[in-house]
Amino acid sequence: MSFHETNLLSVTKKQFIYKLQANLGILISLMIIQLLALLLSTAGVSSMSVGTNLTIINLKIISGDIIIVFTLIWAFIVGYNTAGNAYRLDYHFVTNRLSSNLASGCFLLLTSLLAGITATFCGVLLRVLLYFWRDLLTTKGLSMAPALLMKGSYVTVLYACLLSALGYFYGMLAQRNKALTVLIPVLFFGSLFAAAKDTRAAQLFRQVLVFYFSESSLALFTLKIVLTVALLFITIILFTNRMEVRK
Amino acid sequence: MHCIESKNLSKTFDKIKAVHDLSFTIEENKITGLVGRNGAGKTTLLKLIAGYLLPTTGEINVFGRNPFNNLQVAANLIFIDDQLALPENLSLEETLAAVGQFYPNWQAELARALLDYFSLQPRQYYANLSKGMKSSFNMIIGIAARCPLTIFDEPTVGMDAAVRKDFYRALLKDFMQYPRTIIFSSHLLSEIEELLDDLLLIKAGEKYLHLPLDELRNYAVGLTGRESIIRKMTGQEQVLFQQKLGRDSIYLVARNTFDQQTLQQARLQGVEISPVATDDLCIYLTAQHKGGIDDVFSRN
Repeated sequence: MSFHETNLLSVTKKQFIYKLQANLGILISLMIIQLLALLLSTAGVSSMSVGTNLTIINLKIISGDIIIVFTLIWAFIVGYNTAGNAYRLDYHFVTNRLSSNLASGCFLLLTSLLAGITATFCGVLLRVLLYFWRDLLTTKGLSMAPALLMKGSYVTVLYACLLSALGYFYGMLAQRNKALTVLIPVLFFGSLFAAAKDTRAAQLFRQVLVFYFSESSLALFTLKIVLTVALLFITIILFTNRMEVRK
Repeated sequence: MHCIESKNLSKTFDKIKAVHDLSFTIEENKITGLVGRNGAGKTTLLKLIAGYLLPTTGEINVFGRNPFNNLQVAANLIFIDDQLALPENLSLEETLAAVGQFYPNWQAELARALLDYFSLQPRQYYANLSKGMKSSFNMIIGIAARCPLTIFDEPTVGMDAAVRKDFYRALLKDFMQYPRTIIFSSHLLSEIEELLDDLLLIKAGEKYLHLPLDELRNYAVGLTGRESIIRKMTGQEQVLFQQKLGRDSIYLVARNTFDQQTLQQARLQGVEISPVATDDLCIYLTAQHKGGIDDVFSRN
């Protein structure tokens, strides 16, 4: 039987489709997470009461932030699971380490796109619900300009990309060495505690957060995220290139 | 043309040599049986061939290329064992369609017909299948993929005898239509020997025998009779297995290096000469003790 020549692009494409078919269930989990976040959001993210003897004013601030946060956590978990699934499922059929990572990358890009857009539109849904269900003191901020909506979606998609790439990175390290599964969260949360104190390490950690979360220029922000995600993926590709599978 | 070439191949796990200094070549379009005791290194060898593992030392070439992390080699081989992980959310027919797109020679109709024959419901889920049915499904994938190199690592685990027989026959029929290189590892040599062209026997990670099956069948003879006569005709190095049958009679398996005259003479002296079944022979060849398990109980 004759030898069949193939190329990276066609294998990656096949594997991407295979991954999509194998992981359709995660879309349901996304919907559940966002619905849950939507319900939690209607209760308000913060509230305060001001009162005199005669009147009490209850002030509730309601925002769609919880939906975004939940979606980003979901993106991280999807990234982590994709790494585990890639390791578990990919190598039974035609693949190599590079095509597996590329297909995972395409898959995460797609899920981030879906997650980012749906999360932003959930925010719109929240506003609609509030308009009909609650007595609003003010409608300020209730409507959203289409341009702002677009921008919000775009930024959320990029954050979802970053978080799922981080999840994938963590997941791949964990596949390579089980000790890292524990070590990385310990380092991460440890650094959070350190950040609470005012040390030099804390300064650095804060700078990292500022670097990603306080960028006002959209173009610069895009560049930062794209470069970071690319760096993470290149590291993984180099890191897994000599990885043994199906041991 | 050589399909697989191995030179001094070794693989060590935590100081244990799973495969040790293994050199062999496997020709194209032949069915080779890979036989060895538990822990002999069969699966490790197959995973080295499939490019999942990196050799510690030595070299392995599949289709003239290093298989490790090689897309071209991966596109031309399929590795079927009982560890096959498939997407949980797909039914059997969806799985077949999803897997089939990877392989240019995929036989969708054949896969469907085999599914039907082995009474697997297309709407069933892989996770809900019994062990034997999972093996049947894996085997269907392995046959329908029609890969130039098809590796079966103990594919019949959990299958009942009837299904195993059908499977061997299906494999042979498809092989005759589309010859390809097949490596088949199994403990049930007596069942698969009809299929095989060659046999590769490994013992403790090393190659012990690699020869056509016809030669294996004449590799040794069984001698039953009086111990003194049989001892006289066989040298110590020839003996592969011996078992006392009574006070002075013995059953002894020896390498068949006798000429016709010696055998004829032995027959006249009352020695019964019998062929040795290939699976028994492999057990004797790979045994650590010449007396088998009896050695353990006759220490005192």
